[in-house]
Amino acid sequence: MRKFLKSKLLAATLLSALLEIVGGLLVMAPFLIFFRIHLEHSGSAFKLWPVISPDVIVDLLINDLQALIIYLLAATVIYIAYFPLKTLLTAGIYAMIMSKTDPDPEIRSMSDYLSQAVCIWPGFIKAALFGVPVYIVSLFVGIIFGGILGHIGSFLRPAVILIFLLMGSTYLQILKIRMITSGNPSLRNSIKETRSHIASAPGRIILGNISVTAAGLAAAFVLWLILKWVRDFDWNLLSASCSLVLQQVIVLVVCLAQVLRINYNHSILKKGE
Amino acid sequence: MISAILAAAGLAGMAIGLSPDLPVSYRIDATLDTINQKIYGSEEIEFINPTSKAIEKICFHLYANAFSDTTSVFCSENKQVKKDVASGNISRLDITEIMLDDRYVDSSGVTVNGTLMNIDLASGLQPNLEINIKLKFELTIPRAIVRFGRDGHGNYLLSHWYPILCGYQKGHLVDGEYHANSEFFSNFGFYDVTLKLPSNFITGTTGTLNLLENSDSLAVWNATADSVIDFAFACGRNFERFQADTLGIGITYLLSREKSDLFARIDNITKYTLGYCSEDLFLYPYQNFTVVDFSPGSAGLELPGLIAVGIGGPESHRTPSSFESLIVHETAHQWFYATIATNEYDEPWLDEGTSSYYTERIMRSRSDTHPDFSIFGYGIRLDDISRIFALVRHASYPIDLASYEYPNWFEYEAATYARSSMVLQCLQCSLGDTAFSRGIKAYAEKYRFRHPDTGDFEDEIESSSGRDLTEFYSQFVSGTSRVDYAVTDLRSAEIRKETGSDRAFKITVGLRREQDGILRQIVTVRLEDGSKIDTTWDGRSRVAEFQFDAVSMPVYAAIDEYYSYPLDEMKANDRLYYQTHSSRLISFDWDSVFFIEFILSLFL
Repeated sequence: MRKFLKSKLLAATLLSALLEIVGGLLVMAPFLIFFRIHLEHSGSAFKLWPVISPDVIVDLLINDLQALIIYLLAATVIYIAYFPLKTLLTAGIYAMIMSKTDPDPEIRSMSDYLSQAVCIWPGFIKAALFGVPVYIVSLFVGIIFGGILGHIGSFLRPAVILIFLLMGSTYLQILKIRMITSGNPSLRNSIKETRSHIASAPGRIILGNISVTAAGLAAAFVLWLILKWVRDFDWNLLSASCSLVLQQVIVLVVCLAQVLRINYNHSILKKGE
Repeated sequence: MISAILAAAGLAGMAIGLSPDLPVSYRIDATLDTINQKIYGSEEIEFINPTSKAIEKICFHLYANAFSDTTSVFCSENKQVKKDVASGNISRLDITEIMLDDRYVDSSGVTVNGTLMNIDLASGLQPNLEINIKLKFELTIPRAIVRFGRDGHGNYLLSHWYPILCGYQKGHLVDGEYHANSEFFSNFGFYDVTLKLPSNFITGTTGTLNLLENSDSLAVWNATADSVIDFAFACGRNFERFQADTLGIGITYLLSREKSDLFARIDNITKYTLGYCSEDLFLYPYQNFTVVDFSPGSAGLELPGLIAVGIGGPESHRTPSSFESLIVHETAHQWFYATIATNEYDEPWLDEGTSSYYTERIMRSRSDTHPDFSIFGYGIRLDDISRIFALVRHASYPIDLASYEYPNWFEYEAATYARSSMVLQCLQCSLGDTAFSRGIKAYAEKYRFRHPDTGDFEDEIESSSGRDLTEFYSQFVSGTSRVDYAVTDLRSAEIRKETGSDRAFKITVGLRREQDGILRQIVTVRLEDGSKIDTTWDGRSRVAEFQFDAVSMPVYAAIDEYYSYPLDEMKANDRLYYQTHSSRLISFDWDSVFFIEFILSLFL
């Protein structure tokens, strides 16, 4: 078990899942307080399983629309406040994934990864902000191509959009990987320096990322089916606990797929050097 | 001649339950020109003054003129249509010749103002006297715009396509301009319509349709319709025709070829609705009914003996009931509009509200717990959508306003469709199912082939139920009262008994009326031993407290336990539990967190 946990990929997966749990809890905190106040003794508490009933949503939209908007703003502010910390830790996770051996002889503790991350951190923030136009362009191009290919088969429309979003995500990962390997947080430099790498192996980058993502999504889908089956039972402590565990396993699987993609993209970039 | 027609129609009408007195008959001869996208027509109308006074003018609706240019009232109220008209998609109904009792009328005696045309009667028309009007007209057919036009596949929906006389309600002329929110009103009449259409066109009309001639290029059809308030037809080369029958009613379906695989579902829901309303109200009075798959610039359209419903693209096939609820709604209009011909222009709630009420009632009776709509697998019922639509603006306007008095489409739809339907559901709940059903059936039977107004509806329900509903009507029909009742407190104290071993409890329930609307409420306390205690609260005071003696601890106290009053703006406070649901809420907390976690994990 100890050896298992020493695996850099597994440790990175666990850390990123932990990061998402914290993010989820922080973002949802205002809503959860709101729900607790409203529903603690209410009959609506029985309408939250297996999914929140439209009755409850309608109640909220009719009576608490302004409050919901305020909570949404609060959640956004909380996320913005959490964002620098999340970016810093994400840089640490990237550094861990890309360390030379398992474990890296030069970097032995989490604090070592973090101190490396601190240097790259501004670059990760820039990359995250750069992600906004990247995803918008990916979505836009995906919608256009999806619209064209959607005439062949309706499933192609969402598939093409997802593939373009994945390409956007892959490009951002490559930029961040470059920042770590070069030790330079400049986004501009990363963009310049990765051009040739991407141009030299576009097929491998696309196919590799699609394969890993497809495998991750397939695993998540199977887990989701099990989750759906569990949630078809009436609510009780056992079904609720199983549901919670399955949900976290799904997040873990997605994080693992992300870590594998980072690792794969790193290896592609290394080969190009 | 009209006397002979009316006598025949009247006798026939009496025999089959149609309107015994028809103040108007139309004989229309129309030719569809698919090259120039026009209809050339002539129309002969025999009209009897139905009022008790002499009338000085004959008034016609020229509905298509709402789309003749961007200065129309309709365009000024609907930016989307204005844009469409500005882009060149226009329609116009031009009158080229007018004769009154075989005498030509020159232009000085005719005033065309927007969608209305008035012809002055020099010597007036005395009550119960008849006048013969002959018109020649030319209609420019637009691409499918509000409620009529042609689509890109060569299909046509022609509703409100000819000059139609303005109707009289209780002796008053209803001669309103065509507004963006307003619909239609006219009197019952007899129609004899000859249509010359391309021979390869599939056709469906109001009334009974017969093919008179068919050559290589032209087919001549004749349609007759008795006791209808309008005449419409659909035709085109891309329709596929299906026939069915139920309850002795011949049903014709004109479906776009690509939607023909949905015939079984469409047929099923149509028959179900015709059967449901025939049993609940009165037997569908016509021999024929036509369902047309056409997107007329709105989701659906009701016409006498014919409905048009946009079935939607292939993706909508997977959305259960998305078009089925539309078919139910438009079919219900065959009662609340086509035969109980209320004034859609001045009191739209009477037909839209009742049809929406029946839509929900029929969908509920049919689909039970199944959702009416599904968004990514998340099922939503029609009444949930109606509730949001009706309540999110908190009853800004009463439901009995005229269509043009609502400031915009949203307020109009919210009041006349959603809130009206919910008011009727609350009325049903207040009176009880039996009394309400008896009342609405009595109203329907009394006013079929007549033009009732809101007062008639209210009086009939009141007299059938034997209840004074003045307060209810003033709050929810002509008023904007809001409803929210809450259970605010639930306490239980064990009482020491001197003798005997049974436990006893004093249960206290606190209630509060949060809004101005007053509805009688049933207060229920469910006990741990499975029993329940009920009591009635008149709901008048702002706060109330009830005490109950029980032999068991309470589980919850509820007001309107089964959520029967859809106007109640908050369901969450209708039921208060004695114990908290911490573990359920923790479970829900983690569900919510998972949702965010999952999204965040996609962006590492």
